[in-house]
Amino acid sequence: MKRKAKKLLFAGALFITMFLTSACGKGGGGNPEESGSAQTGQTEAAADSGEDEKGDTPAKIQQVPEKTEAASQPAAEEASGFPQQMPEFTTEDLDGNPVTQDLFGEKDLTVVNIWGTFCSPCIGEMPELAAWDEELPDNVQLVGLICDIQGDEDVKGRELAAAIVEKAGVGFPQLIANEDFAPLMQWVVGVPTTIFVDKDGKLVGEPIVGAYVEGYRSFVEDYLK
Amino acid sequence: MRMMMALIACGFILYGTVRGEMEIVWNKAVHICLECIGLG
Amino acid sequence: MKVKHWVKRKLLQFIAFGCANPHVSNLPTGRLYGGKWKQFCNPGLNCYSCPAARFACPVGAMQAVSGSMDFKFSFYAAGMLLAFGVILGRAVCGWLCPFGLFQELLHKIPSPKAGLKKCFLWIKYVVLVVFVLLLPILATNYMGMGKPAFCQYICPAGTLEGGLLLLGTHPELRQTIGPLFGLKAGILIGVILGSIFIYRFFCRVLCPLGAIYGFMNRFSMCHLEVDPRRCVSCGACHKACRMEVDPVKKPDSMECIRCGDCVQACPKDAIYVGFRGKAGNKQSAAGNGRASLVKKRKENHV
Repeated sequence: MKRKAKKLLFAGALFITMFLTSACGKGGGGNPEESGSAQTGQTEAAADSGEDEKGDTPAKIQQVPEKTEAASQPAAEEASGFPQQMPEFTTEDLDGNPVTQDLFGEKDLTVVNIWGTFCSPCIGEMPELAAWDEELPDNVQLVGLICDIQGDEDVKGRELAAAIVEKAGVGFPQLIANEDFAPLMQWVVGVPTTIFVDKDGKLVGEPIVGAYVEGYRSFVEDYLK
Repeated sequence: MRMMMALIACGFILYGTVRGEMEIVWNKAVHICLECIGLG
Repeated sequence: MKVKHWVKRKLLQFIAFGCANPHVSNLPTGRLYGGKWKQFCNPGLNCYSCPAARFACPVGAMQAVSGSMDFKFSFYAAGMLLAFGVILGRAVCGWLCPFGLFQELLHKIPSPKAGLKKCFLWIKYVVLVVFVLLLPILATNYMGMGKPAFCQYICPAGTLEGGLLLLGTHPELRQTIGPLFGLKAGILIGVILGSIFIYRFFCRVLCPLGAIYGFMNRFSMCHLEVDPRRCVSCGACHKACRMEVDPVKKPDSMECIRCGDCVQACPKDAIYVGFRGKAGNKQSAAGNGRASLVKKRKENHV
């Protein structure tokens, strides 16, 4: 076979294969269907939801003078897609107490540690977080947000989370992420992801992805100065 | 011998499924397992 | 148009690659597929953190279950591997594995080519036992969750399909790059270079999946037979074999990926690779041109 024909055959085979199997794959787009949405709130990658939060230009302007870890700019939220503002929510914590976004108003800074019961590094950093929680100044609070509890029926998930929380010696509240959190959760790529929220519910600084308590500490220290 | 292997395979799959292993696999597979890819 | 054997195999390998990674539309966004197919194991090595992946990696699945709090061993994943192994043996490697295809393509890059010392072939068994089976059970945290040690420290498929793709699409992940990623990137580069010079370097030296399927070669329905009536011991098959197997001496070698190159090379049409006939039954399919899965082409017989 001539060289050119060989190359054509390869290229053709590859493209045809990818397209054919894409078409007959479960929903060619491959976005989480039955599944992921409840879990991590990862729904259709929507600039839409992100935009709702981005809507307020005044909010954007206020962001700039804030001291942030990463030197960057206005594009802080465009880089990762995270919304500027925490969505309004009504949910429960692991003890069954109802919680809303008013939680943020109680302190100057809230550190939200997003984690999942499947995630080994998240669970690994839990005792360290529990210890840090004890040392936090009075105007800062630490809150956990569990991303993989599927609604009220997920008793197993809650029990598992409760067991983890107990074994780690955690004293800070653990919120359960539901659909209200979707505008935030769809931008969460992996866990643990830790975000920082001021008393108005605005996200400050950059989300920290990965178990890096040192990073959380130093951001909080810098922020409080 | 081959038959035995095939039967063991079927048995394993059934047992594993009944135990709920498939859910664990699915859970790990759909969330980006950062440690699996050498990050975090 | 008569289709050459290697073309057929490459085509099937590409199709398998496409079937394992159909969700190409996820690539620009870096989102993972989250549907129900992900609970099923892919036969070959393909990282489930790849945005385009449809199935779960079998090695990843093994570690996920044995690393979980409640279980020490994955019967489901082991069962799937046994099932694939009993039917195909290491033909999975030769025909279905996406990472195998990747290495073969790399090997096509012109360069001096080298063989591999036999002792290196044992490393993959150590990788299997230590990183896939033992560490997820032994390296546990206070909740009893173990590390998926092969995925975490070694697997280049994960670095390539998962790590690099996700780092490209998710800037916020880049802060997690540290010594661990350095190690994995180093392994990936090593495997890429190795594959350019040595045929299927990763498959032969490191792949735990190859180790498992290799064991199954002696039982598998897809097998290799040499007809002793036709064989003239010319050694052409051994010379043609890129995995450095001697099909006459060891038809069920744990290194044989059933690619069929030896069948093409044999001047006496004495080798058969396929499903017909029982292994060990030398009277059966070997030499029977019709039954052969891998047809001999007269043009090759020069």
